[in-house]
Amino acid sequence: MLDNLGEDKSIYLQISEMIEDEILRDILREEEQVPSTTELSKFYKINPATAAKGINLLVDKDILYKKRGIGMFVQAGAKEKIMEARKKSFKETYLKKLITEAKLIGITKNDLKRLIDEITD
Amino acid sequence: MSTLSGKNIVKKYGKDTVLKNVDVEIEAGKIYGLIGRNGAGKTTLLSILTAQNPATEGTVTLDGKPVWENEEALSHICYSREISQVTMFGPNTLKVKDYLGTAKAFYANWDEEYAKELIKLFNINPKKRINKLSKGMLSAVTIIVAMASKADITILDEPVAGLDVVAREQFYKLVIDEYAATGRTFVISTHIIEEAASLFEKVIIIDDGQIMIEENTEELLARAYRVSGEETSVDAAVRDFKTYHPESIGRNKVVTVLADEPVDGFAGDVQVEPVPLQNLFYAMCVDGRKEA
Amino acid sequence: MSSLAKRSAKYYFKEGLKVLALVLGIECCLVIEWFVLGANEKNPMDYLFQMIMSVGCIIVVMINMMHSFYGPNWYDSLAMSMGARRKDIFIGELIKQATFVGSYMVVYIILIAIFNKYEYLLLMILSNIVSFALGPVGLVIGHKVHNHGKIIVFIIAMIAGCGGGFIGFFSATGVSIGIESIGAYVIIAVLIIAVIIFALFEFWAYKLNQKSMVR
Repeated sequence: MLDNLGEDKSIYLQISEMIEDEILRDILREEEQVPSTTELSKFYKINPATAAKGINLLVDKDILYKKRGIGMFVQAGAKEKIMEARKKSFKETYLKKLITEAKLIGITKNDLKRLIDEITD
Repeated sequence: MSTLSGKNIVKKYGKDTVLKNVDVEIEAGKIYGLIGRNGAGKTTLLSILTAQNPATEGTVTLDGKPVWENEEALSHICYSREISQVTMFGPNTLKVKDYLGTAKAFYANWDEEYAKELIKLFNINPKKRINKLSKGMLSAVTIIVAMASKADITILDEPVAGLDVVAREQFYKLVIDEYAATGRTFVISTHIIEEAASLFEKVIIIDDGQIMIEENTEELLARAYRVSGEETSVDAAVRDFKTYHPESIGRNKVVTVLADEPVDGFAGDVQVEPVPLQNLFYAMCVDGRKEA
Repeated sequence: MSSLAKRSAKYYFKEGLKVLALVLGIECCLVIEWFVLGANEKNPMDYLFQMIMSVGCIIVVMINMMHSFYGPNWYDSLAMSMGARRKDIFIGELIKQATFVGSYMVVYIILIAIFNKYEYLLLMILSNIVSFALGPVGLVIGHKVHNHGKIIVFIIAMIAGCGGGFIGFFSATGVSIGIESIGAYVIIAVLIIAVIIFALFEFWAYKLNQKSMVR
């Protein structure tokens, strides 16, 4: 059973994104220890191999690193790395959907600009 | 730890062919989900893989050596199945503690301490007789036998059948704890699919005596899609793919696609969503068999 | 002996002891009843001993066969579902029966020796031999019931009923069926028949066992 994991993405991706979110939100700080694969799998009731895949993805991205015999830790500079990567994919992941919906319901570019101003105030 | 493999398994009961040329590989150290409709052949397959039932044709090997009547192979396997509350001669009056006592006698690696913990966890009275147990307690006893056997390859046949949601969650947690600690191989057959889907590293789908899928769960779901939209757009978009269970309402059509490989996008104005395992299974098996 | 074989053997040995304990327990209760009943007899101890011997012989013959009858569907099936091999189960049944019948015989021999009632010795030994021979008969019937259902019990009941009917007819009308003429060689005849029945049915039980499965 998944606590708040959705059905829309591979579970290991959700795990890695969740950890990235926590890093962005300073819930997990640099050089802090990250929950182990076993702890994650027990908490989210997922296969430990899946949890491990999510963690290893972050290790490959240089977001986490392993301290032998102790566990996984947040890499220095991880937050910046995540922000850079997310900025690059922002257009694909969020904007495209927004524009499609806007087009569907007839919101123009100017409407959009006005709305953005309204919200960010 | 080694691979339990069945090749070309055929099982006939008289004229009725229950398993048709089944090939299956259970690799060591993974959690498998075995799903299939009632009567698809799950229990028969599991009985044959554990040498409790002879196959009409085909071979079952563990690490290359036949399992049938093989002491070495059998001592690595535990097949915990539903306990019958009635025997041919009347109610099954065996006490729980005697049932567990038999398990202790036969399973070489039986962990009595663990069994006692689980008895407490599931709140079972060991002096109770099997015919007096509730459905939930019956399931709990089969789970206790499976877990405490500490067998390298542990097979559970519908372990959560009688359990309420709290007990089911306890079970999933037990499996994860045990797997994380020991890396034992688990094969779990269940009808309650979606809850357990995230537990299964690999999934085996059996329908009408044949294996339809034997694959890593994530890889399977990565190539499954729910495509919806206007009828003609959907038909055009899914033309080159294997589809299941098309449904229409008005001009809107929905179909489940299982591509050979993950697809980047579908052509045309269609909505594409991922498919949870239970829905994929449903789509694949719902239209399959002719209902009796 | 491999360890699975050893564990199976131990399990069946214990099962044999359990049957022994059950039967001796029942007989102890019966002894108390007979003791009370025999209080008015000329020789209460003789009466008591006669009951223990005669009923004991009948019990051992019946119980061994009946307990084996339950084997294939119940505790053999249970053992198989927990990884026992068919070979171990076949040997196990032999161990169980030998344990039960063997220990029972030892208990009775000791009783006979203590009370110096050697006239019952032959009958008791014969009964135990017949009992052991009927064990595999129970097994075969048990296998057939396991595979085909309770209808087998009805079929056997009918055969037994017909058989009983024939014997009753012959004894009532005095028609001879030749048994009287055997005379003193009854013992040898019983022994030979017991061995034949044992061998035949054990072989049959072995064949059935090889193909057996957990239902």
